[in-house]
Amino acid sequence: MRENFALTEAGFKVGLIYRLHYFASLLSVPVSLLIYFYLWKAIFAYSNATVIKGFTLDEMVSYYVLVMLVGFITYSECDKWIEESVVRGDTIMALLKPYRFIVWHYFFELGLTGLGLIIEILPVFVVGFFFGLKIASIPYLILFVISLALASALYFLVTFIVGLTSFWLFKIGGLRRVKRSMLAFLGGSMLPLTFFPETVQNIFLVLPFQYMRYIPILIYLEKYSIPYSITLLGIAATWVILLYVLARLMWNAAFKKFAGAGT
Amino acid sequence: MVIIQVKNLKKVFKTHKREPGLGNALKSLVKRKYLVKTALKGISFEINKGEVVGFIGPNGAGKSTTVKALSGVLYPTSGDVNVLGYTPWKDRIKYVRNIGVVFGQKTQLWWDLPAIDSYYLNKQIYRIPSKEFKRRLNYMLKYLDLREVSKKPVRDCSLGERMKCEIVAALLHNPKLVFLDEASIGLDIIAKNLVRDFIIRQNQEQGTTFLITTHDMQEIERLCQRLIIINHGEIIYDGGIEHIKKRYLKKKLVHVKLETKKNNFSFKGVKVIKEKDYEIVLNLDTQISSVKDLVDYLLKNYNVADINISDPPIEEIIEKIYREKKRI
Repeated sequence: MRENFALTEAGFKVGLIYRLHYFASLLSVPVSLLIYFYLWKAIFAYSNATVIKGFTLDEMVSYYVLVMLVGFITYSECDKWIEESVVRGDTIMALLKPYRFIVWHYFFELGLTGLGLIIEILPVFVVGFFFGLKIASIPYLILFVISLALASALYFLVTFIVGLTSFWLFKIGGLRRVKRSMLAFLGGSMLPLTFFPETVQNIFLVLPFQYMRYIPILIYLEKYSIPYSITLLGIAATWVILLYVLARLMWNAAFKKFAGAGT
Repeated sequence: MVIIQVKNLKKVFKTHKREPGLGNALKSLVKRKYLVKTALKGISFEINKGEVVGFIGPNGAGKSTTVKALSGVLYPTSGDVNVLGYTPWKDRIKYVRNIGVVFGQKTQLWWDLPAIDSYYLNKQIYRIPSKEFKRRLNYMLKYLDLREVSKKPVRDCSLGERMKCEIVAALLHNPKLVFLDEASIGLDIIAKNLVRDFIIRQNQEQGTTFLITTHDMQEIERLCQRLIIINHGEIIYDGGIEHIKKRYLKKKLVHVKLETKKNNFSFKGVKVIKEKDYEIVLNLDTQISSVKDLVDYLLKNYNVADINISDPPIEEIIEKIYREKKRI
């Protein structure tokens, strides 16, 4: 395990070099929250309602604060790193080290995003409370933390799988955009999923995307009963296992492709 | 003790054939032509513990392919490889712990970080005890004059500086076996000598086995006791370096530039290849006259601006080996 955390340390150091990037993304937080705040305030005023699709104005604003929070915590960009190494031709560096490829990237990412967390999480909370975010009750807080862990695992696995496709496609900018927009629409970071028709929502229930954003947020907002929340976490955990198996199969194929060409 | 055993190693690459031009590029999107290239035609060799083996051959001969298969990052088409008891590409994770590799064209250091950070990472990866790590690191950094260089990001290093850093990274964990693939590129003469001596010491003190590919015949001469020459995916020579030296490296190419014109050069054992105004190109047979004698003579009798002495190119040696084989 110690050698795994050495990678985390390396990730942390690389993150430090690009630290300005985090501060830049931090600046975007209050700006986009202000936009969402005034947008929804206008929508609520216009429709003369106190609750829209199950959300009050306060909850709606909290929803977007949480979108950002969950986004920062589960952040991964290993697809970018894998793509870069494939294009530059130095995947060999990771392969000559005694690690499984997924382990190598996971622990490196942990350091990279860990730094982001330290820099970003507190300011987002402060700004969030300023916009009326409430602290959830203890049981929901515990469920929220579990859902976050699952969301991180899911997001990492999806990102890793997208990254592996660069062994065949080389440049994967397009796929990465697809991943982001899937998350925006199907994951709920654009709009709460209650805005979709009931049948569509049922389909979303069996897809992995909403477990990366929407479900943790709604758990924090205490929108689900505790037993139902636990069921949802079970589905998320199942997806973690499925995606892990898929990632493994993909990696075996990618290594065959790589080692067959030997570049 | 045999630590590398290669039997009938064969590798066939299938790559896309790309014709030049935009039209052909578009065409290749729909219909792809494949190019089949046999990189290794079934080579076999063995290397014992503690050997320093030179692995040479012209461009595209299959050197890197072999080194990649031996280091576990390439699947061969067929054949058996056993290194330290592992099949490299099957047991990659367990196997690579025991080896050190430098690929001249790739970096194994973190591009964004100073080399020293990569070394500390390697300390954890290879579980090097702190005391030994410090001792080895200090020794290596001092020896290769890297104390300051190792503190700046690898991206800011010159090619030569980076290669020295790479060599440290490959040897830090004291691996039993080290592959150096074109590891001397970018090194100046001083650095080359340092690295050379360093490799010799490592070999003698720790019994480390080295497999070295390079285009620099001098490097091979100084470092290796044994030489494997590969061409078109086949081993055409495997044996002592002395034999090659005596047979094929007895000729030196001497390129002289003059300050003042002087013609009609003649010296025992020297064939004049070219003589024109300020320039003379000579072919010296070192069995008749030594390099020293010739240079002494030149300096005494000619107004010399520059002398360049080189070995015949590897291609020439290969050609001679082929010619000899035909005769047998």
